Amino acid sequence: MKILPIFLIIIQALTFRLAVAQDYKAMDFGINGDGQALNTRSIQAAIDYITNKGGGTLRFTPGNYVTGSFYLKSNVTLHLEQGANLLGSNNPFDYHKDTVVNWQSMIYAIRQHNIGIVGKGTINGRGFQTAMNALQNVHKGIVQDELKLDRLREWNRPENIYFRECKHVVIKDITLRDPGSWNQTYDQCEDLHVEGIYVDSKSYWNNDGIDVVDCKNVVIRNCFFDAADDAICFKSHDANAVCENVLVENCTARSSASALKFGTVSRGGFRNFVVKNLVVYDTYRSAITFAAVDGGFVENILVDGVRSINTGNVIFLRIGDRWSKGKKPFMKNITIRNVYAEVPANKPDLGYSYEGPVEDMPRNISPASIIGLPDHKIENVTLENIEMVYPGGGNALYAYRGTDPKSLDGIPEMANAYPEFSQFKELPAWGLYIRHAKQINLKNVSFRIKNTDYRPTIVADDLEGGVWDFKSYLNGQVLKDNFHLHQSKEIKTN
Amino acid sequence: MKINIIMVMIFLCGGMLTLNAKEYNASLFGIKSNGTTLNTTSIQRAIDFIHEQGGGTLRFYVGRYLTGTLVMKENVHIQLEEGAILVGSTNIYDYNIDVPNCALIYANGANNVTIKGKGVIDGQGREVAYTLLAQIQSGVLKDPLDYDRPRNRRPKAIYMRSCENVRIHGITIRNSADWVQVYDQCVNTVVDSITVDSKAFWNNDGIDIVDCRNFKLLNSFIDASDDAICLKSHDAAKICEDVEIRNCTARSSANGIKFGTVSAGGYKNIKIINNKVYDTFRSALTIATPDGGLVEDIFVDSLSAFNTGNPFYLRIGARWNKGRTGAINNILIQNVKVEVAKDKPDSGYPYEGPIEDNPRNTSPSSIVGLKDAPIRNVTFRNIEITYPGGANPNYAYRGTSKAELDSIPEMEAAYPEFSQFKELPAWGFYVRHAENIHFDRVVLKLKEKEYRPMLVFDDVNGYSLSQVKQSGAKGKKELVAVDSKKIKPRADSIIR
Amino acid sequence: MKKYLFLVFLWASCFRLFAQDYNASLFGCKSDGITNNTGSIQYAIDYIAKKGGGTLHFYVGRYLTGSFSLKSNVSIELHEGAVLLGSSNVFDYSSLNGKRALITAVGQSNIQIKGKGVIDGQQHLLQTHLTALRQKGYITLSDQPEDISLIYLQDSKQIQVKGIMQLNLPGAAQFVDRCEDVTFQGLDINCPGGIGVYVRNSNKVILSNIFFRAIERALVESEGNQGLTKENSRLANGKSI
Repeated sequence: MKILPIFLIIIQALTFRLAVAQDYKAMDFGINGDGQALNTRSIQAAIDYITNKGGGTLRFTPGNYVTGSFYLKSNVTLHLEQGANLLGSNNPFDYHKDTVVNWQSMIYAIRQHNIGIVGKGTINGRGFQTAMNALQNVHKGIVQDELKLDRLREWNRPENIYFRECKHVVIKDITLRDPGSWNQTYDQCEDLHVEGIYVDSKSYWNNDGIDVVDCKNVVIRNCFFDAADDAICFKSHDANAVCENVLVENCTARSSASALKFGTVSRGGFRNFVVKNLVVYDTYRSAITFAAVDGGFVENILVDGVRSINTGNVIFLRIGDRWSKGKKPFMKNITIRNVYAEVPANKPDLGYSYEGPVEDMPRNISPASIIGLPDHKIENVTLENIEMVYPGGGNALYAYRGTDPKSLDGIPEMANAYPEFSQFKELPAWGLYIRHAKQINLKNVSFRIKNTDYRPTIVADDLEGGVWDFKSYLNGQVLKDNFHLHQSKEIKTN
Repeated sequence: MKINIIMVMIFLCGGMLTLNAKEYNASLFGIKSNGTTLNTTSIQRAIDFIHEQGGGTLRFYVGRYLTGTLVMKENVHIQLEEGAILVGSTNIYDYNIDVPNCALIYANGANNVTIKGKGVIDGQGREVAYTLLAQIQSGVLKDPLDYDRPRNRRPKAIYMRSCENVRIHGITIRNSADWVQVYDQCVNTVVDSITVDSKAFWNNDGIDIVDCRNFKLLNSFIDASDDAICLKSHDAAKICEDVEIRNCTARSSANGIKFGTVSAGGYKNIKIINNKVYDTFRSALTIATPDGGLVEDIFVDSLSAFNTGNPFYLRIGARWNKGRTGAINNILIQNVKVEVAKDKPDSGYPYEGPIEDNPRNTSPSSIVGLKDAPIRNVTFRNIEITYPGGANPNYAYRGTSKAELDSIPEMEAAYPEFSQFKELPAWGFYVRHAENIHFDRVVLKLKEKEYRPMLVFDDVNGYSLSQVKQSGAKGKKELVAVDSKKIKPRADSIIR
Repeated sequence: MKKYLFLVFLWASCFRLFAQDYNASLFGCKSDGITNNTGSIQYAIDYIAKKGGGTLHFYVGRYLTGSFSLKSNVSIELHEGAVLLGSSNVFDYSSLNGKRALITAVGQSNIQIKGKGVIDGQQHLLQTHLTALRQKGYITLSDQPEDISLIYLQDSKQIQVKGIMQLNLPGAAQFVDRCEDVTFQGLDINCPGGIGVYVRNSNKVILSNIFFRAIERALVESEGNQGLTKENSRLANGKSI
């Protein structure tokens, strides 16, 4: 009796594989790689045909395949061979705005399963020119857009990939470049496997590297991200959904915003994350930003192994109250360990296209920060085996924040502001600033500066509990009296 | 003795001049060859500097030099070495759009100017035209749209006005947004061994020679999405005079070689010798004077045309003539071989010529004057033309009765084009309102049979036919002459 | 009564106010013969329909496109020299009830397609593509000419197609199904091996002054037609249809 179901499962697995093994050549459908023909409808026809036949692979040989929006369907994999470029059309009217996700994209998949995009080829949105052309259409008066910051809103510009409510998704080996908006969004997907992709995403505003929104069971491994906006970005758009069970492993990220980020939209929450071996460089904002500002939570997070070079800020943990709508946010059980970070004196993303904005000035170099709200404290964070190297040289004449009660209490809460490490302008510490938190532990943490800074290494305000084992150095010399506590209790230091 | 001294002094001066003609490399002025740095101001500074120094050569080596409008100055020579590309900016505001005839390379009253070498000028015209259009549609720039395209502010690749001693040699000119090159009221110009490849946008005339005196266009290849080699006369007080077009090859989605359309002053003593025309949508040769201009002493020798929509179109009109009457007088066309296409001859080229003036079977060569201004003294000698034939009278029909011939509209105010009358009653030549027309050794071949006669003469005051033959498939008859008078064949109407 | 007339006048003037003219270039249409303008043309039609109707004008040039659908009160004018060039890829022709077409109108009214311009179906390239797809079994489309058409009208009324030259058509030049009050006038149809006009289940269809330069069957009348008028329409050999 027991044998039958197992047998059935094996059979099912076999048929599934056979279906996938069927290979179709794009050119056989008349899909044309001459860099000129618009292939939208023939690609769609090929996908529809393959899905109706039970599935298979649509293979693109080297060539330049121009397309507008199309939909990937169940059991279909796009295989882009090395030298095959899927190019986004430059005519904004060749893109569709899907009514489920209400966002423009080149490749959509909505409620499909067993889908993939693989191979060493490239998806190139050519988004800058498309965005420019869309802007012209607004100026001509034939398209409506509020033009926030003199640009079309991000949902009115095409992404490269937008998948929603899909199961068993594989994105492997491809190069993704130059979208008109975010690069790739996976929204409420399950079993998402992203491996070995190369992302070059600096063509226009809002060029996130990857956005994983409210997904379950996600692996992102051996990937490279270079993005004008957040590089590896987890979001929670739905207050009833959660981003959970995620492994990010062996990835490299460069960003003109944050390298690894939870948020900004964070309505539901984030839980059970493991981030291993992350390399961050030339990044304008934080190597790691966890933001719970829209009522969502962050819990059970392990970050193990980060090398952050020439990056503007190391860690920014933040609870805010922006679009919470009464929902209570929390952030707890976070371990960050085995980190080496160098923070530069100058702008880390200088010379990249779409550099991050110079803002929140005047301000000396910002410290790593863990900042909750008076009623919503960040709890149980452990920083272990960490070395942070800062330039120092904080100049009190340029920007000043003292450690006297009045100065510390004068730091605004900014609960409903957009969360960014620099939002408070000058902070009173150069290494680590903690406010509204419980049980923050430091194990074998060292802070280094090269020039004297008028601020202490660590300032804690409204911190309840913590075991601190840390040292700080000025040019290799141990600094004494290197921390300041305000309205805090139960801190044990070595 | 005195004369000798003067000669020596002239020689010395000449020597000093060449000494002064120094050479400068583009990099000296910070001009960058990366294709992305906009070099307009540094190239302009170089031109101004060389001009101030008394002249010299600005040399560009291999690389892409992005630039907006450059204003040429006296005694400045630009040398584009092989692999050097002067690339037009795609930003319309990088051009001198506030002057009439804006252009990538612009000169007004600059003498002794040269552009030479094996390099390229690439106008990126399609992109420029589209950015201009977007600016017009956004309401920022004003320019009327003709046929849904900006009329006035598309930059030309080269515009030179009132310059003496201009030399253009060896270069390739590509992708203009408007006419490719215009020489307007210039004196002593030589354009030699150039290549024009310009099918980037509408109105891409290959070369426009406007009211110039002593102009030579030699050994050049011109492929353009409007008239390829075009003589014009914009000024009623001026004239295009002493022009020689020799050893050139032309391809066009309009006319191969054309006089007009704007022909206010006129054309005198024009020699067109040993040229080829192919894959051309309209006529191999059009001589049109709809604006009151005078066309006189035109000599065409050794012209061959293959796969062209029409052989010859000679036309006097009355469009913008303001009371003056145009004239065509003394035309000799000899040693010509033409093959007329059955299908669209420019099919598949970017910016094909428009399908228009239908219904109409294949059009004949036409010589059409006005009632009170006949075309005078035209000789065709040693001509061979092959027509496809196969006209379908059910599709388009024009008979040869006097009433039917009279019903052909005069259309003197219309834009002159070989197809303007739609169906014409002949398959070989249609001549109306002319005087002293001589056909000498003319062979017209027909591939499929015709319902029309070979020749129709209507109001031709004096014509002669000697050794005129038809071969191939059958036409209706050889000649229908109405209100016309035959005269004896006579000696050349033009003596050379 | 006077009041009533005034209202009618007001309504008429409103209509005129709304029936605006739009150039194709405004919507980014390119006349280079190689840019596929489908997205721009469809956006233009939808936009004009939303604005209360009008005419989309194409001037001299070659406008490549895949299929687009017409909307009520939006007309298309192809001026002399304008060529609407059908894509050579059969998947660019939308599929309706197993039939494919370049220009479709389903359940629409008050539309004109007019002017001295050309619609070119690029028959030879399209056939090559179709044949290749059929060999691989990648398409289910019969080889009946009426299964791929240039203009496909269904459940529509007050439609006029006037003056256009139709070249190299894929199968049928026009397919009319369950329509009322449709006029084809002054067309010049060149469709070797194809059908000029296919009509079924329709009322008041007028064919007037049409010249069929090359055609397999000029007119196919299928079941259920009422009031089909033919006037002064001829084949290449001069015979009336």
